[in-house]
Amino acid sequence: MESQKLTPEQIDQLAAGPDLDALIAEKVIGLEVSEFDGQKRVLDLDPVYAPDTKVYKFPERYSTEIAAAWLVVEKLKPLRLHLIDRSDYEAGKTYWHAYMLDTKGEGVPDGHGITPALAICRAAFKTVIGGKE
Amino acid sequence: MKLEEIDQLPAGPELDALIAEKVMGFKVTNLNGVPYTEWDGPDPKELPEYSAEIAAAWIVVDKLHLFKGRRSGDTEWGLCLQQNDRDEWVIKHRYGMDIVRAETAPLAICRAALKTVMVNQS
Repeated sequence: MESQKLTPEQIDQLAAGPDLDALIAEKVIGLEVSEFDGQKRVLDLDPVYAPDTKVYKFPERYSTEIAAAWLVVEKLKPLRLHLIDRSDYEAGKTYWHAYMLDTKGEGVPDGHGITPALAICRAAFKTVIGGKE
Repeated sequence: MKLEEIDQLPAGPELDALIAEKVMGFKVTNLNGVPYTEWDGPDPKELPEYSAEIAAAWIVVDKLHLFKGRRSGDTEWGLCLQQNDRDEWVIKHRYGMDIVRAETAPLAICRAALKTVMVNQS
């Protein structure tokens, strides 16, 4: 996936899962990503069993697990997360909106998703590859 | 406990036990001063660190979605979690009024959850 060519609208269509996790690992977290047998892996910066060799592992599940998504929030500091639950529970629809403010209180690109983790990842990805809107 | 007192609760096992009991609906047992939830296996089940770990705190967020449609006064659960320019985490409800502030997001979630439950029970 050529992330530099993605528009904000295309980022809003990225599905949660390994591909988006790998993009976040590379573009937001700054990890080295390689592909093995069609699957993206990230360089393990602290390999326990083979400290002198390059070890690759699956990326964190940034787009599906809130604890991993929080690593993205931490990485983007001093940007300040705003995360809003805009779900319509009567209609049975969950909908989260994430955006960040910079140190001047100005907004940077936002993201939406059916989970907070996905909304955070989309917002973060737009922020790092797109700059300010 | 008064609502204002909730704002002073620190993160830790005591708050985790309150969340487990008042929000999650678990029966909490103390063993040698350490809180556990009821268990049916061989080993006691330790409480999740609701007030310290974001993944555990999000269990509380998900639980409180059960409060959909319930209102008492101005308190309706509809999470807006944001970090302000003083590095505090603030939770607001849909009408803009601050519910809580805390130094971490999990602690803010736990304090807001307790307040929400108390207001809905009163």
